[in-house]
Amino acid sequence: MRWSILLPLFLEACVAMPEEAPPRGATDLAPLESVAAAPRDPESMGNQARSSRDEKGAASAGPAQAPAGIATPPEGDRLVIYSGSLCLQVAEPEVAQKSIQALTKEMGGWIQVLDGLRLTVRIPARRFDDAFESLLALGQVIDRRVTGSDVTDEFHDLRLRLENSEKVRLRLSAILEQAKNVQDALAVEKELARLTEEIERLKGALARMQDRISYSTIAIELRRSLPSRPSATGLPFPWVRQLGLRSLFHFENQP
Amino acid sequence: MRMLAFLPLLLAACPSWTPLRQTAQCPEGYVPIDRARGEFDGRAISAGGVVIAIRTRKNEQEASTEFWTQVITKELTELQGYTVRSSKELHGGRAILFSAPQERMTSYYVALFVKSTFVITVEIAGPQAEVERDLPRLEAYIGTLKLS
Repeated sequence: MRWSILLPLFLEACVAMPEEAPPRGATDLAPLESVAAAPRDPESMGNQARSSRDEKGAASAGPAQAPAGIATPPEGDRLVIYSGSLCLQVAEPEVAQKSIQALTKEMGGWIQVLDGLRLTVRIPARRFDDAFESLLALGQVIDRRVTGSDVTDEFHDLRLRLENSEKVRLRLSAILEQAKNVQDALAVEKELARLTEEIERLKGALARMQDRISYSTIAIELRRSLPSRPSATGLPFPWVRQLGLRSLFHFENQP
Repeated sequence: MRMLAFLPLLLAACPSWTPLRQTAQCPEGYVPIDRARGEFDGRAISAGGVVIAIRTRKNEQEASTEFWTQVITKELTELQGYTVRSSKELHGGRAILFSAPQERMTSYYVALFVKSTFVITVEIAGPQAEVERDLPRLEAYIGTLKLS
């Protein structure tokens, strides 16, 4: 067997362009059980389009032959990684911290970072809105931000590259069985090893991306609010004391 | 007789000093609340619940913008529990945005314009999201009043 026999396969394995991939669901890939790196919420798998931050749990039901652990969203749905950050002023940060921990657990998430008054929590994407609103209620909001990153194309590209690599690996395995001498066998095995490494790398990348899609990240900074001082320290300018919401929202027709 | 005695007349004579008394004088989307002059020179409200109000006070101390900014900030933060979110120059005056105490989703904003003998405040308050949405055009509206 000559190198020229392997060359087309090598090229296919290296390039693995999406265009070469069969339609989704028409693959004969082995299950990819190792993809799930983080705790999974089955309902949120593949439901990350959250085109509406809705509850389309059925989105995870991709093609029957799709690799296990890699959800295939319906055509048209977008895969979005949501993350948020907020800064809260609270009277008792320790109490707020415990509330955040309890809330995170209740939402089916977990604490990723706990560093003094800074916390990072991971929340199932489908409960992101609820969690964010509940967190806002824990104190006075100094700052809040929410970002959504569309990774649909990147996700599909990775998945197709993985499918192609798996197919090439199967074909190389078949070639290996037909090898007529040690030299040929070694050459094929070397390529198989490289391909296996590439497949594991792609699986890891997909798993990380799916984890970020399935579980939103919320970073929280707590600040201790200063206690109010007694009004005895007020200044002798009565009109200044009239400023504020109370007089602004006093309407004469109110009871 | 001091100039102060003429102040009400001066205010009444200048249309820009009696805004928010008729819908046409209000920012778009706002309607007047107080038809007659009372505690406020004028006050209007949006359908979203944002209130904008103008008040004029005597500056008997003839204090500066910086002085009144500090006094107002101290009063609202230390005595009333508000939190400063931002502070900036605005059309020759000073504008400060606060978060209200206990009502985390309510914003309170006061723009301060100091003359030698009087101080004009423009206050805006309401649900935080509504205030944030309306603030750019309300600040533009304040600019049209030429208060500085």
